[in-house]
Amino acid sequence: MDQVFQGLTRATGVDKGNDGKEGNGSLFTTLPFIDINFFVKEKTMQISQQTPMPSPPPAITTKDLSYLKDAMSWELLAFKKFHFYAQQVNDLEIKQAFEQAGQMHQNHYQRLLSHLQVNNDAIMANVPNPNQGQQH
Amino acid sequence: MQNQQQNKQIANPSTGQLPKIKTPEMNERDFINDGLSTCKYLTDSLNIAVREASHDQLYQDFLQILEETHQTSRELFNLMFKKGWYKLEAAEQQKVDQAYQQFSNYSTQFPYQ
Repeated sequence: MDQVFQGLTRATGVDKGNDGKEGNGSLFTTLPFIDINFFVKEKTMQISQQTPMPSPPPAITTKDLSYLKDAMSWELLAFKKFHFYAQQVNDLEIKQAFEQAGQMHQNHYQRLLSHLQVNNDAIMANVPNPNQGQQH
Repeated sequence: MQNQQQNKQIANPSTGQLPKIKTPEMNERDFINDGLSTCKYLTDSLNIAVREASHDQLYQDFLQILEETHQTSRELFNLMFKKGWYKLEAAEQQKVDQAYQQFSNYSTQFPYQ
């Protein structure tokens, strides 16, 4: 029994060290993040405990991350390509269309990138645990 | 009327600057064609991202980015058409009428009056 307990504490100790919790703590104060109201709402929800979340919280899911990275990779290639093509052609109308397309893709890249400026830990701290208080 | 040779082609005269002699080098038509392909590929990928997005703001942004990419694809297509690099073909009137008849007859299957 004692051995099991010691093993557990040791394991959690190692976990904490690897998590870099202190690093995340400082990020919390420096990152500008989304919609203060969300947290207020989530807080009241936690108190009532019964209300389900009407829509997913603004956390980036594993799937979101995959699609964001994929989309940004393609946007990056697209605007580099359009800028290069604009330099290659003589027709002014085509050149202008290429530069416009390039600017649009760069704008898309920046908009998608802003979705990665998020503190998932802070958001998840306010999301109720689905397994808590459930009788199965 | 049926024997009369009617024009089926929808296209502008080719006014784009293309080299007289075709070489392995990419020309202006190749560039714009590839640019259009890039945008079309992106709309496919973005459509999946829209469908799979978790929270609302991410969904809205992906959707708007998808729409803007469609718009740019359209502009590139229109530009190619204007330069005479896109040829379309009108369907035969008889075939259109036939299809209209066929699908009009399916109205017996409509659940809503």
